[in-house]
Amino acid sequence: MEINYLIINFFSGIFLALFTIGLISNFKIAKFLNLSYGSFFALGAYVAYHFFLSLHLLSILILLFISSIFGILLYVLLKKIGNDVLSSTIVSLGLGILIEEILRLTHVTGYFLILDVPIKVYEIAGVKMAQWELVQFFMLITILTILYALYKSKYGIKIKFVEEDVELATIYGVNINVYQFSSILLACILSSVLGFLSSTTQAIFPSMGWGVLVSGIIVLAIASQFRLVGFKQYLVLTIVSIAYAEIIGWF
Amino acid sequence: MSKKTLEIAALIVILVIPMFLNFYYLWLFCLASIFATYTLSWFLMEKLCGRTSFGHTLPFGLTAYIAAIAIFFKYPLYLMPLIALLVAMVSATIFYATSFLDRVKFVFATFLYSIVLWEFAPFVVIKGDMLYGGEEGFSIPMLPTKAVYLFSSCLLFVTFVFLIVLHNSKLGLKMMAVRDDEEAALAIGINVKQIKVLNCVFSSLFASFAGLMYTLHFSHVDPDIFSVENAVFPFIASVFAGGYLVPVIGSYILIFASKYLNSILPQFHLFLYAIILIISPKLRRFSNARG
Repeated sequence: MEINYLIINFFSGIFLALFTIGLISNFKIAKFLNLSYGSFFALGAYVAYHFFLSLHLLSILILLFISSIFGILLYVLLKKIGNDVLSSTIVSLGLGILIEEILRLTHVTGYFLILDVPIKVYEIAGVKMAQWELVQFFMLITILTILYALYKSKYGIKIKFVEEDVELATIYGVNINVYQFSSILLACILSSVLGFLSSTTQAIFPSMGWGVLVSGIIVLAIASQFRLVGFKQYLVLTIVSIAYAEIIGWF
Repeated sequence: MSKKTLEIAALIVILVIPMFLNFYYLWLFCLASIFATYTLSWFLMEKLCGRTSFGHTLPFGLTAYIAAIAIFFKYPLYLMPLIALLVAMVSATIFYATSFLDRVKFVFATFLYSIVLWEFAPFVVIKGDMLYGGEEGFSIPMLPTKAVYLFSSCLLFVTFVFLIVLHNSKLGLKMMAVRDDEEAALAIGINVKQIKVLNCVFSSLFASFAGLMYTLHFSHVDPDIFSVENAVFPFIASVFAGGYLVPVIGSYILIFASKYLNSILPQFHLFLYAIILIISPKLRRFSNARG
């Protein structure tokens, strides 16, 4: 029984790490706390609610399109309006509320459930694991591998430069806009994909992203204390997320 | 006549007008006066201490919640100010502890408080012969709207005059010195910690009493009192802030606009909030440049 709880909390930590990767990348590269991140999560879940049962995995294309539109909108707003950490954060909060209200107004306040998708359960070494838990585990491994390869590539040093000092990076000729745009866009897509994939395991409502965003911000705050840059920060973030989920789950 | 006297006179006019209007408008003006007090309490921290808080739902909402539960358990009404006072002290302590962070982190941390409370509030459930609390919240017996308006308008008036007096006092000048440069203030002999404590106490106190008025006005409190909407309300209401009357008028306009937009589509006013939040950095820069 105890082992089962540890494993459930472990997978919650994996999910939290996946979720917070986008948040920390926005914070370190684009220099703002993305408070619209939770709304992108809800957006993904609503796309799943409307299209998953009819289009199955093709609905991910619709998700990519919608989340990219809002991701680009966020980037444009930040470039036009937000000129420091605080104003950028407030702009992202505004966009987050806007997305949430679009969802609320188009669906009327209420909860939705996707019930027609059977939850597959696998038994590995005597421990039962849901398909979604295994998917998020492999997603995390894949994303960490991509990040490792990215930081080892010729772009890695430039990204680290942007993370450490954005002004200096600009002076030395690093095109920060490319990295900031990519960071924002990919983070928004990641959050909505997570919302999409986890939609079958929870109730769907417009403000569903706030709870997980709070946990994400707490994990981000703890991980930021280590003052790391590059791939190490994501590794530490994963460890902190799992530890956080284990501790919170214990209580 | 000085500008301050004119502002006070204008506020008195705003507060007296509803007495001659029908019940609906009296009710709406009462709500607006409560939110105007809430905005001023926030503005006290922002304007005099340079700290932007997204966590004023802590004193505001917590007082409303605890007061509603206390009334639900038949505690007498005269004990409610004591609850507001206690919550204000707890909130002030939390704000003071948070003020050791830099200004940007202070915003993040206070925002986190409001969201955590919003997420946690639905779990507050009391089991009796049936379940109370949860997402439904707590209801209390209704009080006469005129009586609540009298108290809420007095509270707004006191808060407003207090802010003007504080702004022109030695203490206000010290607060503004701390706001502009904490180290420089320390160097000229200002007790920065004491000033910060006082600022947090004043700000929390007015927000707490506004929260108490909110409970008495609505006769109902639910977890949405901690919502993002309420957390960002003072920020939006004072986006054009220059003097102290502008945030009050901003609050009134927001409440009236919200009610009007809500009549078109439920929750439609949050669109307005979102749009103002998105363009708020531009509006603030414009307002500061004008100032």
